[in-house]
Parts: sequence; C-alpha cells; structure tokens
Amino acid sequence: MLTLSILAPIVAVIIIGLLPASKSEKPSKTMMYISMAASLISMAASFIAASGFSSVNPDFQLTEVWFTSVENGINWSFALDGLSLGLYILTAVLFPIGIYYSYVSFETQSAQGEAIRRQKLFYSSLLILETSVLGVFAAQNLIVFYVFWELMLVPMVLLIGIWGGKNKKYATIKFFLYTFGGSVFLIFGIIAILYYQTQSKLSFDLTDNLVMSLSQFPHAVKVYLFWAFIISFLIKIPVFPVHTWLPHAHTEAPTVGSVILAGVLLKMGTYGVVRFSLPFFPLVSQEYADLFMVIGVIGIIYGAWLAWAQTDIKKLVAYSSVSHMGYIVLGMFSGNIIGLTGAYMQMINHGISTGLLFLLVGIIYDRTHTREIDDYGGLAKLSPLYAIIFMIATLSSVGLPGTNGFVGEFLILLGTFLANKTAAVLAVSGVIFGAVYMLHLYKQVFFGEPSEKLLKIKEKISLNMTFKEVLLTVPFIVMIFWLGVKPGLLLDTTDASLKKILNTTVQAELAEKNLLKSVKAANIKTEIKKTEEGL
Amino acid sequence: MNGAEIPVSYVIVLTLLLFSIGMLGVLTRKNIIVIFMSVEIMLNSVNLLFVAFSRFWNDLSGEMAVFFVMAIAAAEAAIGLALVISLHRKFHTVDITEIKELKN
Amino acid sequence: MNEILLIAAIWLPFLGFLANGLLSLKKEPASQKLVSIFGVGSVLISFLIFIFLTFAENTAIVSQSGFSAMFFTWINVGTLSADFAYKLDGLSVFMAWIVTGIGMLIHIYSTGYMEEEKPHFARFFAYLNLFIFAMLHLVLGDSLPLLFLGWEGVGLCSYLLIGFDYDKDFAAVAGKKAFITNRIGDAGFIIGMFLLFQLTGSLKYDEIYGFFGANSVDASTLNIIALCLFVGAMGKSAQIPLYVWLPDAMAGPTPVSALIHAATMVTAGVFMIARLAPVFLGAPEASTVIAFVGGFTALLSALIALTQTDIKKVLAYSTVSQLGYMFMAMGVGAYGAGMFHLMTHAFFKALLFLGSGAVILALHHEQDMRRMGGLYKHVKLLAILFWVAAVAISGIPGLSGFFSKDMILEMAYTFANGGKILFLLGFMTAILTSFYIFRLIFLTFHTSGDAVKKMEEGGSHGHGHDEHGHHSHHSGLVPLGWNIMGPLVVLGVLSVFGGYVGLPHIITHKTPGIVGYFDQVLSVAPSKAAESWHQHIEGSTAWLLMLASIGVAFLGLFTAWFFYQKQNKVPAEDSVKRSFFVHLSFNKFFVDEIYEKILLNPLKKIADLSYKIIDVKIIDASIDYLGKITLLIGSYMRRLQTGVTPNYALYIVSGTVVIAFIVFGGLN
Repeated sequence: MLTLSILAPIVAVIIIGLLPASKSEKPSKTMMYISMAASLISMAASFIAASGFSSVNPDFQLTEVWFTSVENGINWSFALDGLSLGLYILTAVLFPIGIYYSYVSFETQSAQGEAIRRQKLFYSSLLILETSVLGVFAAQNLIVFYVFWELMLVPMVLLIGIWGGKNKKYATIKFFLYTFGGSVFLIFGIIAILYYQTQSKLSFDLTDNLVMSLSQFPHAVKVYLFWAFIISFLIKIPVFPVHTWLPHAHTEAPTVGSVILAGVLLKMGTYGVVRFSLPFFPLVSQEYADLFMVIGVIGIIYGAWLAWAQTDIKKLVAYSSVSHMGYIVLGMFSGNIIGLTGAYMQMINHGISTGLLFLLVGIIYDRTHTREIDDYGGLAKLSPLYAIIFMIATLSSVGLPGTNGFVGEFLILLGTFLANKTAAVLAVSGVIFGAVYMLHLYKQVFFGEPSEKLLKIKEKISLNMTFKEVLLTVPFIVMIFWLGVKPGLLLDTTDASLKKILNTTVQAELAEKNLLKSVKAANIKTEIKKTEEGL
Repeated sequence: MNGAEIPVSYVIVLTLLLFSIGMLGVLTRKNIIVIFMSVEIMLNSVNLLFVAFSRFWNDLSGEMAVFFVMAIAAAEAAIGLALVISLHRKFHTVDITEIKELKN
Repeated sequence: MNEILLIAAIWLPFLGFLANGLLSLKKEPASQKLVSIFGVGSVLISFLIFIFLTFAENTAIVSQSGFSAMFFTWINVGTLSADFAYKLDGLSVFMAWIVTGIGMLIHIYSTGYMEEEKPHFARFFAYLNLFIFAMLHLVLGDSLPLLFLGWEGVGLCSYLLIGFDYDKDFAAVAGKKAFITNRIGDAGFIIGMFLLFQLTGSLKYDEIYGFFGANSVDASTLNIIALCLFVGAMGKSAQIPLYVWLPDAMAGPTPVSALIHAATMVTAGVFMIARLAPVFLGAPEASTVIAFVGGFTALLSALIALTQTDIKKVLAYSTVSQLGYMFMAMGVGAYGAGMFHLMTHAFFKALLFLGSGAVILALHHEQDMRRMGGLYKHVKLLAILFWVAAVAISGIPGLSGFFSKDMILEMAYTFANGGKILFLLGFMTAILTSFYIFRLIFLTFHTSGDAVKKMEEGGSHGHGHDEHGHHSHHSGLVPLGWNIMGPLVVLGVLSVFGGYVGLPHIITHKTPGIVGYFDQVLSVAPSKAAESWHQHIEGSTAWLLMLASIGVAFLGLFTAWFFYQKQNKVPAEDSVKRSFFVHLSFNKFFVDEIYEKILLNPLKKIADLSYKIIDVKIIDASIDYLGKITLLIGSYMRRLQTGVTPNYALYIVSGTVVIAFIVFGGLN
C-alpha cells in the first residue's frame, strides 16, 4: 500500500507525459482529473496502510521491501513508524488539495482572461514532488531517504522558477543554493559514516544496528557527523540565521508551492532532526541542546518581530513560519517527552494552519493580484465567509486553546520549561508577539471600511469564495478543531516512537557512565598494580 | 667490458638537461615545428635514459622499450607533420600563439 | 445522569453558537425570533440545569471534592494530563449561577437592544453564546489548562464583540488592543501554570489541592507562582498596568459591556485567585502586592472616572475601580469579601450598563452625557432603577454594595502589612465613586437640560456614534420594550437584596454568611489561613469605619448634587481649555499615550529596523555577498583561460611539478 501511494503520482506523470501536446491556454480538465485520481489513490492507499498501524509498536512497521542489497547496505524498502505516520498522512492529504486548488485557481485566472501555460509540466512537477515527499517520510534507509530528499528539489525549483512571481529567478536560485548547500553536508555525513564504520557490512537501514554502530564512533567524529547532519536539516527547517531563503521562496512561489512548502517541505527538516540527529547522536545533541534552544528562542522572537514589520501578506506568513519553526526546534531539544511530543504536534499544526493561511492568501490573490497589506481593508464586509475562515486560521496560528495550535505550543513551552526555564520564559513572549502580528494583519485586511482598490475589483469579479474554494478549506478547518480538542488522535500514534528516541539518550548516557566507570576501574587497577610493583 | 665506463649518474644529468631543454622549447617557442622538434628532444632524452639504465642493470628490456619508442616516434612525426600542414592550411600560420581555438 | 446534565449545561450554549453561527451565514438576515430562541433558550436551559443541580447534588457540591463530570480526554502526554472534565463545587456553582443567570438576563435584554441591527443579529447572539460557553469552561473546568481554554476563549469573544462593528476603525483597534493586552497577561499566567506544574506535578485542581494538603511549601516559591498567575489576572481583570484595554472595550455594543466587561469575564482574575486559594494564601508577600495593585487601580481609575463625559466610559472606569476593590480583598486574604463584592458588583454594574444602554438606545445612540439631562420625566422606571444601582455602588447602607464594600474596607484596615494605607486608598476611592456615579445620574436624568430637545436640535455632532443609517430621523425617544426593562427590574431587585447574604458581623455577631460559605467550600479556609495577616480591632472601631464609609457616600452624593443639580454645571465642551487636574483626569493620565511612546512605537521601530537592517542588509545580503564573491573570483580565474596552447602546457607542467613535490617531496 505504501509503495502504491508513493508510485501512483509517478504513474500519473507518465500518463500526463503521453498526452498529446495541446496549444490550449484553457485549464485542462483531463490533466487535473489524472493528477487528482493519482493523488487520491495515493491518499486512500496511505489511509488503508495507516489503518494497520499499531501505536504500541515503536519500530518501523507496514514494511514493504523491494530490493535488498546486502553488499552496499542499501535496501529499497518503505515503512512507517510513529514518527513518520502523521507527516505521511498530512502529505497525502495536502497534495490532492493543492492539485485541486491549482485547477480552481487556473479557472479563476482563465475567467479573467489570462492564459494558462505549460500545464503538463506543472502537474508533473506537483506529482513528482508528492512522490519525493512521501518517499522521504516512508524511507527506511538513510540512502533512500537522501535520494528522495534530493529529488524533492527538482520539482520545487521548477514550480518556483517557472510559475513564480516577479522576482522568481532570484528566489529560485536562493532556494536551490541554500537547500543544495545543506545537502552537501548531509551527503558528506553519510559518506563519513561509511568511512568510520567498523562493521564488516554496514546497513544503512534505520534500525537499532545503525544506531549501535554509530554509538561506537569516537566522540569527536560524532560531533562532526552531528553537525554535518544537522546543518542540512537546520537550513531546511529553516532556523535563524539561515532562514532568508524562506520569505523569498514563499513570496515568489505559486500558491500551491507555498502551501506544500509550508505544509510539508519544512517538516522534512524537523523530521530529519528527530529521525536522525537525536537518536544517532543522543549525547552530542544533549551537549548542544542549550545552543539549539537559543536558536529556537531567537527564531521565535525574531520571526515574530519581522512578521510584524512586513507589508506583504505572504511575507508576513512566511516569517510567522520562522517563528513557529522556532517553537519546534525548542521542543525537539527539550529532551523530555512533553516537549518532544509538542514539537511533533507543532509540525503537523504548522502544516495545517500555515498551509491554510497560504491557501487563503492565494484564493484572494487570484482575484486581486496584490499582496500588499495596504491595498486591502474591509474585506470582512465584502467576503464574510472568507473572513471567518481566515479568522479560524489566524486563531490556530496564534495558538488559541481549542485549536490545534494551542496543544502544540503549550506542550513545547511546558517541556522547555522543565528543561530550561530561561528559554521557556523568553519563548512565552512569542505568544504575545504571535498575537500582535496576526491580529495586525487581520485588522488591516478585514476590518475598517472596504478599500477603494477592493471595491474596484469587486465590480469585475466577485470576492466571495466559490463553493469549490470553501470545500478545499474544509479539511483544514476540521483538522484544526479536531486536533485542538482531541489531540490524542495524533499523539497516541507517536507516543511509543518518541519515547524510544528519548530512551536512546538515556541508554547512551548509561553506556557512557559505564564506560567511564570501567575506564576509572581500569585506571585504578593499573595504579594499584604500579604501586604494588613499586613496593 | 673495459674499465672506462661512463658512470650512470653522468647520463642521468645529461638526460635531465636534454629533457629540460626540450620542455623549455615546448613551452617557450612559438613555431609549431620547433615545438615539435623539442618534443622529439624530450623523447630522445628519455630514450637515452632507458639505454643507460639498461646498461646499468644489464637488462635488455630497456633497449627494447627504446625501439618501441623510436618506432612510435617515427609514426608520430609523420602524423604530427601532417597535422602541422593541415593547421597551416587552415590558419595560414605556424605561430601557435595565433591559434586560439581552445578559447570559446 | 446528573453528570450528563452538567455537561449538557456547559455545551448547550455551544450548540446555540453553532445554530446562530450558521444562521448568520445566510445571505438574508435570519428570523430574529429563531435566533432569540436559540440564543436565549440555550442559556436559559443551562441556567435552569444549574439551579436543578445545585439542589440535586447539594451535598456533593458543598463538599471539598465537589461534583464532577468527565466528558472526554484532551491532552495526555507524559505526566501531563488535562481532560474536558468539569467540577461543580461551592466556588464554581457560585460563578455558574452568576454567569448563566446574569448572562440569561443580558441575552433577553439583547433581543431588544440589537433589534435594529438586522444583518448582524444572528452573529451577535452567536458570539454571546460562545462567550457563555467559554466562560463556563473557565469556571467549571477541573484543571488549569481547561480554565485557560475558557480564559482565552472569553478573550476571543471579547475581541470579537468589541470589534463587532468591525467597519469602524476604533472598534477594530480596541478589539485588537484588548486581545493583545490580555495576551501579555496570559504569558505570565502560562509561566505561573508551568511553575505550579513543576511544583505539584499536576494541573488538576484536586491533585493540586491534595499536594498542598500533604506538603507545606516555601512561601518564597509560592510568592513567585502567585505573582506570575496574578499577571494573568492583571490582564483579564484590568489591573494596573494592564487595565488600558477595558475602557476602550466600550466600543462594543452595550450588552457586551454589561456581560463581559462588567459582570463576568473581567472578574475571572478574582475567581482564579479563589480557585487557587492554597497558592495565594501561602504567599503573603505576593498577596500584599495584589492588595496594593488593587488599591491603586481602584483609586487611579476612580480619578479618571470623575471627568469622563461618555456615559459608558464612566462606567468602564468604575468597573476597573471596583475590580481594584475585589483584588484588594483577595490580597488581604478576605476571599469571602472579594467574592461577595464580585457578586454584588455583577448585579449593580450590569444594571448600570444595561440602564445606560437603554438610555443610549432611547436617545438614538447618544453616549455623551453633556447632551443628556432631564430624562427623569421621560423614563421614570429607568431612572429609579439607575438610582437603585447608584445607591448600591456608592455604599449607601441598605443596598448590596454597602455590605460588600464595607466588608472589604474593614478587612483592609485590619491588614497587618500597610493596612492603613490600603484602607485610605479604598476610602478615597469610595468618596470618588459616590461622586462620579451621582454625577452621572444628575447629568443624565436630572439637571435642567433636556436630552430630548438637545437631540432634536443637535443632529449629528461628529462623534461617530450616529452613523447608523436607520437612526436618521431624530424625533422623540425610542420606546423601550419589556425585553429591555424586564431584565433591568430583575437586576434592580438583586441589587437591593443581594447584599443580605453577607450582613456585617458587628450587626449579627456572627461570621457573615458568605464568608462562612467560602470558608467551607474552598480547599483552604481563607479566614483561617489569613487570620495571622490581620490585627484584631475593637467593635467600636469597626462601627467607626462603617460610619465613616457611610458618611463619605453621602458626601459624594451631596457634592455631585451641589455641582450638577444645584449649580447646574455641565462638563465643558472639548474645545474649552481644562484646568490641569481635570485635563489629566479627562485624558486618563495619558497612560495610553505613554505606553504608545515608550513601548509600542519603539518595539515597532525595532521590528521594522531589524527587518530592514539585520535581515535584509546583513543576513540576507551576506549570503548574496557570498555568491557575489564567488562570481568575482570566477571573473579573475577566467583570465587563466587564454586559449594559447603553450599556456595550458605550462599549467600542466607546473601542476605536475607541484604534484610531484607533494607525492615525492616527503620521500627524503
């Protein structure tokens, strides 16, 4: 089932590729149907697979092995555990929404007399992107993970570079170089593992074996490897100060690109940290936990402040992402189950709330063609339903209790508080700033008398959301409230796996202590011997 | 053999000198034909070294190699000169600095 | 069975919210009758259920553990667990009565008040129902996270309702201000919650109480926790320095001001202190701070209320001032007195606000008291009810406010840490209270001016309140229906008799009923725990204090009468230059301006600068420079590629030499 859900989009790409080239500049229904079918199959398959998931089992399950190669330790197999299940499902759900939204958006643009070009490539890119992201989350092997991780870059660069806004080239290059620069460190780390490994046959399968063999590396090597891995992830997350690609990429990307980017691509970074950095190098991550807490806190406050200073809606939301990702970093390095669970919850939350925000911004942008906050005003009067849905997204983003955002934020802050009080107290100020920038945005865009620009646009095209557009936002709204009052739905599935990750830290600590003890004992013995000999 | 043997180190120095002369010729001269001749000098310096060591070790395989090199050098000279002629036909010069086909 | 009833009572208003919310989405304004049935009905049934439960589960409620009902699990991670579970005990049942009872009255009132707001009628009731729902979570939740859910939920409703007329800029700004100011408090509250979790290992009340029952905790730890939690109360209950949002919140429709910004939500801080009595009673220093913050807030806002000309602004500052009294009571450990004042205040302040709403409505949305006067002739019943409320708030004996305020003042006087100063603060506030409230009465209902005439002459006067298109014809007063006057009468009755649950001990020679009640139902009996905080005073001193506070109440009444009735003064127009103190008071001591200058503007500037300089010019640019440097190096390296063959040969040779050195250099 997992394989089906990963490969279905690729099959659709082939079918779309075989379609006769058309010169039509109208939105193509056929392509939309094919892509939708593929992504829905993919979604259904992932649901079916997930139904067999056992939340008490902390290890990989639902495993599907394709090629095994004992020689080089690369097994092509897909599997999920508590860590990847939620993100996998989120991805599988976001893509059909994104694809259908693109079509709806094409229709709106077409209705305004704009030509829709290169749809073949557009849908293909989206579908390849889906495969690669699903692959990243389902990969059970470090190398396979890396392959999908890199594959993701290609369609994303195309999406931003071809269908982006005015400044797309600049944004694309920045996005590419940053991410690619990060990947260099990652591949370096992977090669270094090969270089230092002591076993005769090292498997890159993400099993306890790999963790074991890594734990026997010299400490200095572990530190280097830790940095090699984490730099690549931090860029992807992104954290301060390597965050500047994000606002550019978000602003220039087409709406669906922003939704996917915020929804799942950023999570690949945080997922990488929890999947690799924490269990592979438990002691090193603990050693540097304070540093990452500082980074997280800076991200929260700095991101929120910068969001406040923006005049472009998409940029504001992009900087709010930086702030939210700061929370996740904080939670991941809190070193306790409450914080880690919160971080995981926040990954999903951010995907939902920021994804919805970008979707909503896209919906209105299709009509107004402006992202300047000053051009808006009084939208609540012109489009009440849109205002309500935007309010829900806003509330989720500021973490109002009852929405999903609260659960994540609360757990992260509590977990951080138990680990590091100063960091938590500083991070709590993010709760205030979060309200400041989001309500500032909401007030400027929705309240007051309608702006002249909007009134002018209203004469040409209705600002009300169409039924299709409302339908697209429904899954988000359901998830916001469902996870807000029943977070157990998600948290129960992750609990065992997250506990296992924390357990590696505990075990590593114990091992280290025992090692020290045995070294000490040995030292004492030799000294005793020396003194005896001396006597 | 008689006692008036030339020490192998003398030959090595000689071949080094010859090789350096050849290399300098290749690097500094502009006329392709002169460069070509310099390459021949370098080849021959190596040949000389082969022969010297062959004598020194009392092993004929070095001299065998020299024959190979001479045969190939002859072939190379034929092809090389042909190339020079075709170059001259194309560019109307044998001055190597005038031919900048490696750029762009 | 009763558990289900309790859950139903809490979630019914939510159903009302959903129903009205859906109705508000319709293109055509929904039938007002239907909306009213959903809106009022849900709260009414909820109120009735609480009455029923109070009697049906009487023994469980007054016991320590209370009557609890579990709905479903919420957050359950590690050692943290918080559920949608409710606890109906002596404290929460008290609050639930006030919330649903007064809430129901105000819902009924709103059906009349909002009648003309046809397109927004359903939306208004949806918000009100959501508010009741959130408020019930605040008071009935059995854990701090659930309290916090209600806490922020009522904040959201407050935000939505203040900005109800969202097309008006000042309303939208006021809503935002309320939400953000509350968030500042919430940040403190969250930290307090975390500290408590770290200390007790749980956020459920029962477990917290159990912990405090079993362990004795250092006062210094509790002081910090109490202060952090109090920061939350500062925000929600509008205390210095976070009180600035409440007066602006008057931009919301008047029923909202009565329900949220007077009777229920703003008292959440007081409730929270009573809820966490073991923490606050174990923190004497923090409690002293609370008492003084309350005292100063009471005085400062009473000073501001003196000169306001907007009828709702007077009441808003009066609310802040009365909340200050409550915190003063809580701070000196007189929880019974604080909760008592919370209740009586809910009655008379709701009455005042609803009454002012009736005035405003009758006068076609006129709020400026300078354009009122002489209304007594036209609306006699309303004027009498207003008098009842004013007498109650000013502390004239016999009505509810007298008993609760007197109890607070006496407890403040006996407080060991600076009780005399506290008493003085409260005493001065009492004079001012009496003065400003009767000033309001005289200006509105008496004086020789005639509001009706003024209104017909004045037409529009640029105050921005007359923009309701449907009020263009200004002729005569708008008639007030039964649904407006009915709730007022009920509240009037409550304001008169509400005080008799706490007759002073110097009259009855017993512990006042309400104090005894809270001693029994709170997990720590406040009057015992705080006994050592107080000095004993003679009965004669207590009599003297009471007489003094009665005296000042009449003094205020007389002064107000003298200035505004006898001398017929009307507050100056905005264009007239005011004397220094009036200028200060009228402009609210420029606190808003100061906050803007020293906090908001610099922060915004820092934000702008850090974007423009740090992010764009330093971080982003440095990455760009990295790229540019690469290009630069490239542009120089490019020159090596000459195209001249011997140069390449030279590179090859030199490369070979270098490699030879690296490889063979180390041989010798």
